[in-house]
Amino acid sequence: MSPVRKTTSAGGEETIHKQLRRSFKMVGQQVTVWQEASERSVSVVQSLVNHAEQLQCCRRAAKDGCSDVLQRFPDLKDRLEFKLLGSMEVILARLKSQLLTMEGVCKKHTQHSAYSLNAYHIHYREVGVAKGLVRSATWPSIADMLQWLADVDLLYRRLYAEKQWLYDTISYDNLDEFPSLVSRWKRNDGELTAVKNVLAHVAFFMEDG
Amino acid sequence: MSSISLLTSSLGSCNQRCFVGPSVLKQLDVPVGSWCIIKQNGYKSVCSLWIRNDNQDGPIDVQDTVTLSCSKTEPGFRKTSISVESIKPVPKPASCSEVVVTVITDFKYLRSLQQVSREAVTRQLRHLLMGSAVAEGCTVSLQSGSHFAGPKISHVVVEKCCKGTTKVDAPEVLKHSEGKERFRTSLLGETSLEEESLSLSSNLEKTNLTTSSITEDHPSPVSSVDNALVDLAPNLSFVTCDNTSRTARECANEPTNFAKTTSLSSSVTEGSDSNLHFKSNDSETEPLSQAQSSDSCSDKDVLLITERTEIEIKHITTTETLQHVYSRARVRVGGLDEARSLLRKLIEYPTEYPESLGKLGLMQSHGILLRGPPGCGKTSLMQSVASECKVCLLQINGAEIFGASPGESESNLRQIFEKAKGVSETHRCVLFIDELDVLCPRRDVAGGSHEGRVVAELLMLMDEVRGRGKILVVGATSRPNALDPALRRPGRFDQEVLVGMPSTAQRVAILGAHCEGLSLAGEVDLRELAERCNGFNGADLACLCQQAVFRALERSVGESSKPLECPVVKMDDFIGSLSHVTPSLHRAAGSVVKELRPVPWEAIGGLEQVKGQLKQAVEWPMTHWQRFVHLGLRSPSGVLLYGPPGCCKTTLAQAAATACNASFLAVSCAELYSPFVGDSEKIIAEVFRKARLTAPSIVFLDELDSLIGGRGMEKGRGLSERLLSCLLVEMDGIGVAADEEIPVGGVSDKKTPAEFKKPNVLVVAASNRIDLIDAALLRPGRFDCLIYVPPPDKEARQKILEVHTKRMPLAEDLDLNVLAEATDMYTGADLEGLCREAGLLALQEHGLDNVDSCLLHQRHFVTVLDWCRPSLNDELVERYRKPDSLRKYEIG
Repeated sequence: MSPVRKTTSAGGEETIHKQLRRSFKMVGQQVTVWQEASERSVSVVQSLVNHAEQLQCCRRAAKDGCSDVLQRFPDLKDRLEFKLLGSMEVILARLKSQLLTMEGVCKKHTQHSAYSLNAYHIHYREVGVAKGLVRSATWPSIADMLQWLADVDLLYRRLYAEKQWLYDTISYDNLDEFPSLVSRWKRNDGELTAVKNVLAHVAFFMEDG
Repeated sequence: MSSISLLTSSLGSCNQRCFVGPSVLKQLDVPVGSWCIIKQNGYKSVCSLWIRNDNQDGPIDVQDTVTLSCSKTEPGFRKTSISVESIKPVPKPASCSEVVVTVITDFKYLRSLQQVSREAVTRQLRHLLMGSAVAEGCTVSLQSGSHFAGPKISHVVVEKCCKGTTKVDAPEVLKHSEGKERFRTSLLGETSLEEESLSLSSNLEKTNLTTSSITEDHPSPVSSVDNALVDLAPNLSFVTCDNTSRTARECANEPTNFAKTTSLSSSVTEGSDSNLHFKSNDSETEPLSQAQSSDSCSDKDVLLITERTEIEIKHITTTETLQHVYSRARVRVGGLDEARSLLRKLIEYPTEYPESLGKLGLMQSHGILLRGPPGCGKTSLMQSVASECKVCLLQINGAEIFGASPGESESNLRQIFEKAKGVSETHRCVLFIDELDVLCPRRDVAGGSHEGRVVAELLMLMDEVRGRGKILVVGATSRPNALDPALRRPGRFDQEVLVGMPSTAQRVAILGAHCEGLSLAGEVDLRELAERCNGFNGADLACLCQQAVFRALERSVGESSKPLECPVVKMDDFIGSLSHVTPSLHRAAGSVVKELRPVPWEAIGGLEQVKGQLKQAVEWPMTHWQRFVHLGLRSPSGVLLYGPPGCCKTTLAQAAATACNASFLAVSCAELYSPFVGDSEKIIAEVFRKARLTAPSIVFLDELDSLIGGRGMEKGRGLSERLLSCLLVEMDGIGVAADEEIPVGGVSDKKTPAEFKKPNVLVVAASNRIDLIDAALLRPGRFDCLIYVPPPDKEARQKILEVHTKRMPLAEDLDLNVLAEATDMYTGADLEGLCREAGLLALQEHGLDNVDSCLLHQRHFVTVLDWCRPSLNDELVERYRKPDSLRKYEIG
């Protein structure tokens, strides 16, 4: 990717296209990164829900009085709870690492979206407004692509924000909410098809580069 | 080149977009993704420009706007019909270093937001707000869809945002940036590596370039900027040393890119571009970019929220609360300053001085009861105070509470209190119960266990709320006596604020408030108008103003066929509409009360002595009551005018009422009789209550003798006796309920002993048979001022004659002076009859043909005098004059 200096002379449009290609390439790469992280996180959440169920059972048992068992082992409940909470903490740490990966994806998108827009802004006098809007049968217009990049960035950011919020609102005191956590975690993942759509739109453009 | 703040600042914003057609973009001559401000309806909105989806020219569409200069939550900014002219491109806003926000959410999500740690909410806010341009006082609407799993934040109000330290203080900057670096490295993970390296290389390489370009435009901040750069450099290198694992590709690529950027942008001299350039080439040194942007940015207040912006949440509140607090249209309330300041004190002191109140051990008030006759502005007072104090006002109506099924009312009530509790966690909240008497009738009187249960529930809820500092329960009622007594004790409604009938000064203020938006003619004197509107309450005055405007409208419609904008309201309009508006209190009293026709003292001829006496008895205590207080004089409670019939006793009373601007309630005693037992007493009590409400007032009892003959004189006068005792009680003031709504208006001096207060009600009675009146009424303390109205003297007779002959064609030889001399013992009514007879006689003599030449001569009057005998004689007059004649009888 070194010949940037040359493309400066070759024309602004070329530079913009170069940058856009680079950005969309990144989008293509990050789709898999996100997907992997997302899948992993779902399994982590599932195990978290499992633990939460156990914890709930443990608490219920103590409350309803399985008195015979608990009398024989007076600190059984506390020990169990301690164990479960410990392992849940570990799971949460794993979840956090997945979230960090996702955050990285978001950052990448933001960064590239900004790069592309920046490149366009620098060269738009050269390119002209009209040229930035020209669409062809195979290539979308520059404005479209910039907008898609921003869209994709926004989408990832929102998904990440949702997951982060779910992570933040996990509370051991409110175990009733756990069973629905998996569905809530996955709920909006379907929207990622929009990214695939965008990639499909730019497929010819990428190939031509 | 890149750093986080650059990234987000050059990002064309994800969430604030304005979609335009290509021609608009061409017209504006800016690239896609650049910022602009759209002005519409006095609102401004910041957004970035994008191309419409269809790539065609079409209506301009705005998505998720940030609204500036917005003090209301209601959308004043319409997203449609935006013209190209309203779009103003602006350079990229500077990044914002610190922002203080208020988060607004829906009521049902409030608790969940409050339970989560502030850090989590802040993190979410960062995601939601990143890339948004904000300004102080703006509202960011976040229309995240209903399926959004994150926090349901509907709006974010930016209370304060700043660019950071405007003055470059080297150590502080260092510290600041250190913190940020740490934050960045921790947050970014792998991405940060390349950025650090880039910033290092770019910084080292470009320092000279940057500073030189600054020197061209802004010579002043150079030295400081230099310092900052120098101070920052080691810090940067320190950070980057840790992250040495950058790839060669990035290293090679980005700096060249950067070099290109700077060279290009320096060639472009346009403001936005140079700004962009500064943003792009140096974002490590924020002070530098600030120095730039503060000069080149036209809208300096608009700042961009970036990843590094420190977000501080001031408080989390609900949409509903905010609507209550902000969007309530200002209610204008005139007068009522006393009640308003008291209310404000009760509402504001606990929030303003919580410590000192706690130290003093002062319990704050838990409930305030507003009482007063209907239409005096209890509800509007509360609303206006609430919007002034910026407290959340939750209003309850009795009708809303009551439900069909048993238990529904209670649960409704409980829900509202729950809501108040929710709101009170963030805001001070006033729970306003209008028409409290409907909700809480006396339990012993009202039948049915249903009301009783509601009352019990309310009492319980009020006790529950008592411990919470932020809820204040305010009730309003026009019938405080109908309330359950359990409500009116300390701990529930412990403060009672009276919103009484407005005094004259208050009426002026009320009229002023209502006429605020009108264009009044210069001659309109609100003071004079207010003096005429005795007995009007606030609602009546509002109605009066409406009527006047309507009249003005009608007039201007007649004048011109053009559609009228704002008619000028003249005094005549007000005067004319006065006759259409009856004070609502008088309306309720039915036919008993008559309206006052203003009569000046001058309209009554002669009777100087009587007038003097009446002034002393009626006008002085009303208008110069302070002097009475000074001398320790007690104003008379009743004045009895007695004398032969037809001697203008009624007119005298009216003149007295006019002179002291009192409301005048005329009661004809004959009308008081009613076939229903107890009805007459009720009417008397009602009249006196109304009189007290509209104080100062004069109750005029005409033909008192017909009402109250002496007690025990005849058999079967049970009704008369009851009426008499009722009247006596009312006059003594025993009938006044302890907490009746007596206006506070004139009596501001609370130290005045009760009996020296400005007289509220003065009873003026007229009778020609004083001998028939019960002696108990005539003792001092009741009718303590007996004024004899003699038959008109010579001078008076002349004036009366003048009045009656005003419209008659008089001959030259007619001498009214002589006539007046000759008509001794004639009353006013006799004189009127005399004039009529004389006129008839003249007509008879002259014949019915050519009436024009018919004149009244002296001889006509003299002739008529022969058969028109006076209705009085000395004996009669003597009898009327002597009130003692019957006293003898009584003693005997």
